Amino acid sequence: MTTLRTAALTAALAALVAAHAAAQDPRFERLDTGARAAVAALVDSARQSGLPAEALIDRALEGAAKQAPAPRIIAALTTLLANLRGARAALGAAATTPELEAGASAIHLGVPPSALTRLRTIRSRQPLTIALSVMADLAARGVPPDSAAAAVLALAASLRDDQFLAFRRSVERDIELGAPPAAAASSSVRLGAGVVPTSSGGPSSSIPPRRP
Amino acid sequence: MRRWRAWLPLALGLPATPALLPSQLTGAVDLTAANVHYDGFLPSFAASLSPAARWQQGLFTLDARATVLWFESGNTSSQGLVAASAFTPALGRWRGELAATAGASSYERFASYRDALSAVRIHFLAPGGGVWVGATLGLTVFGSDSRPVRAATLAAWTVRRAATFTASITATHVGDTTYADLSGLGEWTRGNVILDGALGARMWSRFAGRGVYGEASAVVALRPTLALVFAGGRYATDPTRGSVAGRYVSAGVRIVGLRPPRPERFDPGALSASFHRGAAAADPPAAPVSIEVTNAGGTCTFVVHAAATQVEIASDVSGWQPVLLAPAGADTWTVTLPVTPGLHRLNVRLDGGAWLVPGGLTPVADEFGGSVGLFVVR
Repeated sequence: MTTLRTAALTAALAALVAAHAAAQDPRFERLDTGARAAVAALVDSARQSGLPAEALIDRALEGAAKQAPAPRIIAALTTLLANLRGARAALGAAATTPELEAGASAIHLGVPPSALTRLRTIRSRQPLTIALSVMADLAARGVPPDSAAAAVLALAASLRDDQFLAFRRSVERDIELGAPPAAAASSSVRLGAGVVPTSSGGPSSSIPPRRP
Repeated sequence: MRRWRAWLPLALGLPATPALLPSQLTGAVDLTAANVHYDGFLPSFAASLSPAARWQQGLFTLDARATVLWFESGNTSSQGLVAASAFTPALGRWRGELAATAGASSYERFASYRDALSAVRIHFLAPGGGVWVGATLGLTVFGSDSRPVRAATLAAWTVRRAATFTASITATHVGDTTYADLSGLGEWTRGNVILDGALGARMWSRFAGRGVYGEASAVVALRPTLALVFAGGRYATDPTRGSVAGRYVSAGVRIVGLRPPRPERFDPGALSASFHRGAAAADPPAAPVSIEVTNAGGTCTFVVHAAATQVEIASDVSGWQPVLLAPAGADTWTVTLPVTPGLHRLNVRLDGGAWLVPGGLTPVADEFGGSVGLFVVR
């Protein structure tokens, strides 16, 4: 009986909080009415945990823009919240919002959280956002997650952020040329392609062929 | 090459008369010039120095080999390998073998690969040939990251006059990379010439590419201590040692100590990257739209190339509100938005149609039944 009462109180409180949050943020009006309360509760949960709530709102709005049904949006946010928690556990309480978001993406794409912790150790005094973003991007490109993590960890001590982006472009280019993603990452690490300076920072800027 | 070496002592007759053989040390140094051509890279010349040594005592063999490569760019690559093999006494036609290898390679100042493998093989010997099955376990380390290695091999070999042939099939798991190779190897000796070749196919693969590869070499002995060595071919990705597929031709001299050893092929593994064009994953569908993203000073300029009358983007940088792009020339559209550093998601819509992932971004499944493009902002 006590359990039921507690559950009812919790649900009522969540609904109250959700309604309050929804009332405060006009962006919630773009959400399906069936999703608003649950999304608001998840956003509030993230805020209370000190996690970047904006990331959840963005994901919900992405679902709304794509006219996804409410259960799918709620499932996506639940997963994202869990991944953000995982990223913070791996990166530490001092992790910045961009680091947490990139770390959550990496985890979502299969990178083990332990790789995030090792990256923090290796680059203890530098921002991890770009390195984590590249790690996630490589995994999204089809590089096996453990290989993507290994490649970034191997370069973490020596590359600057701009060099990490050059490395990512090199892998991307090699994959487009037909290389197996794992081999492309391995090759780019070994050949040092990532340190080729480029004048343009755009993802589609091409790196001219080079000698090993 | 490792598989070939695995049955080499048998081909030399060691199992038949192990007790009669005294310990023997042989060595050679190869000085080679090579041309390597990596797909997507410029061709490069390289010079190599490859010392090798073998010590045999009864049923035990120890090999050590190293290669240092100097590319024309001035970069240097090095690798080393130590391999040991011990056969058990014969039990009828059966014989066991324990083998182990340890290797390392490095390129410039980047993280090196190291691997340590152990293998157990069971040989069945028949007149003029034999078969063996083997299991390999080990570890490969890339930088600070290690991955387990597991492999299983079934092989058969035969000796016909001056030629030996072997065929094998090997299934290998390296972390989450798996592949199966079918290969055939042959060696033919006549007078002062030794020819050997390898032909293989990566029939099945996950993350290690597929395709056909082959290598050939010729060793022409000029004197008992001097030989010319010619080699060329294409080799497959080896995730265990961190080398990827490539092509090469090489020529050089071999200076031999004590007695001419078996031919040592120019080891292309140390030359690192090149790729099988035919080994690629399925080509991605052609995107009807592509995008260039240039970031500077806290903003991103998005330039979309598409044949449309109206182009919109939606992204986390726009709060997933569709943003209409301004025309900027023929089939070119642009908009500049404020951004923060990090990993971002974006879709493009043409003429009010479906949300697309434009070429130029990394496509990934979103959680809503479609796809979204990733891009990184510094």
